[in-house]
Amino acid sequence: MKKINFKSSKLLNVAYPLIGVCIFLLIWFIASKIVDIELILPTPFEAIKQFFLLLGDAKFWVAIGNTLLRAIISFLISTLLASIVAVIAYLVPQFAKIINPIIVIVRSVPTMSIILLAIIWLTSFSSPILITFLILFPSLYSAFKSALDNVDRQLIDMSKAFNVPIKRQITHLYLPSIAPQSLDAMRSSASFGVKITIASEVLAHTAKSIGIYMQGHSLNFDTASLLAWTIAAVALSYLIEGVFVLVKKFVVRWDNEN
Amino acid sequence: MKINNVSKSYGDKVIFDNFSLHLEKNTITAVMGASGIGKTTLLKMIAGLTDYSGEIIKEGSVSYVFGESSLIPALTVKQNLEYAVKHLIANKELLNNSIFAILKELEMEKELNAYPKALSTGMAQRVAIARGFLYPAKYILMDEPFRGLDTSLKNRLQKYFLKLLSKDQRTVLLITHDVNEALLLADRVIVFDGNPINMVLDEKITIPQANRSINNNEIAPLADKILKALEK
Repeated sequence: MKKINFKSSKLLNVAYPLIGVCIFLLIWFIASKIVDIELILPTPFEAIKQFFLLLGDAKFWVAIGNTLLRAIISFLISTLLASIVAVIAYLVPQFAKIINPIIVIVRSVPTMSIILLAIIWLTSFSSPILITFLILFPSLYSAFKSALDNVDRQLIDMSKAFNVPIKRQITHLYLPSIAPQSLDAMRSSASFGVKITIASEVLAHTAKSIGIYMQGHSLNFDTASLLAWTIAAVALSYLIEGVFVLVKKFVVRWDNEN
Repeated sequence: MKINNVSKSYGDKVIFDNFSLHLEKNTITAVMGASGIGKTTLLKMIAGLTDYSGEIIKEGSVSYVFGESSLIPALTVKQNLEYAVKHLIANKELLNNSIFAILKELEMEKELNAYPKALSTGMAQRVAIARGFLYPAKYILMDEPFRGLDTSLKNRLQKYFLKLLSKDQRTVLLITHDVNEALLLADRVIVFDGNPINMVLDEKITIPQANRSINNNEIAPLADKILKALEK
């Protein structure tokens, strides 16, 4: 009998996650049947039906666009600033010592405090951006700084021994060395950023956003629609993570080849 | 190369205190001694990778063969070699030809576009040796370049190394823990004791490398001498 090569079977790579999703839907279905009150927990079929209805609604796409825009803006600002600060901290150890307590403080502040303060300080449009930035920045900074610290000391010495120009060191040694760890951190931050943006939109009552529609459905006990928006949010996070997986596969080629 | 009255400390630990060493042109000097004594520090001082007081007079630039091959995982064999010398060999054709020629010499030309991940330890070491020779320098510093290799592979790499050296003469400073390696390759063997470092043995070997064997009447007593010096 022919043996299946489990490691290389692309079919199984798709099949396993699908089995996971089916088990999740089954548990959801059984739970909804046990609760048996649609207002509290509708069946997955009802939520999926609502989700497909949403797809045909223009307000859905506007809300997705607005939320995504805010998430992208805060992600880009966080990434840019975190990388600049991490590079300075890497080059100037004294600066790292100064910035460290600030990072720890920002990271330790409860998410809810940040959200509530940002709502007081800013408009409902911009507060989700600040909130997402404040939550993403510390973790991105730590990831970039640790990636820089992990660049192989011997490879740095080798570059110095051969007097390799700094520009080539950056493009051929530093960037490829930090890419895997940094892209992983960016992937999880980008998808987490979408979740934080939505949470902030709920509390800041941001108009034409995923958050505000979710809140509306919650107030109206329209659980099926609330879950439909949740499915949309999950799909959005999944898509963003997927983009980063592809980017990493393309950038970190040396791990895939051979 | 003249190393004159060089001193170097790490905190309270004095590694070199007014240390001097002169290396003759186009010779191989093997440096031996206990681990952590400061042999690598000596190479790093010569390469300018660490600071020191005193003077090191060099007649040209210095190339380096690191012990753990030190290849950048993200670059192919060719790119790794280009990385170290591109700024010195501006002519692209000349650079490509030089890379191909040296890899061919080491029987590594098929691995030109392979990433380090796909190379065995011996292959990676050959690339490191190729890089050491490709870099236009009067001196090559070698930090245990054959460490961790099995005997037959070590012998093969040492032959490759001598073959390259016969075509492209350099002054070599080789750190090794292997007495046989020192005796088969070096023109001079130095044994360090510390701290601070002092030379407990400094022997010249005049027999041509091709005629050397560990059972040779002149080599065998030297091996005993080195082993005794290392035990001190």
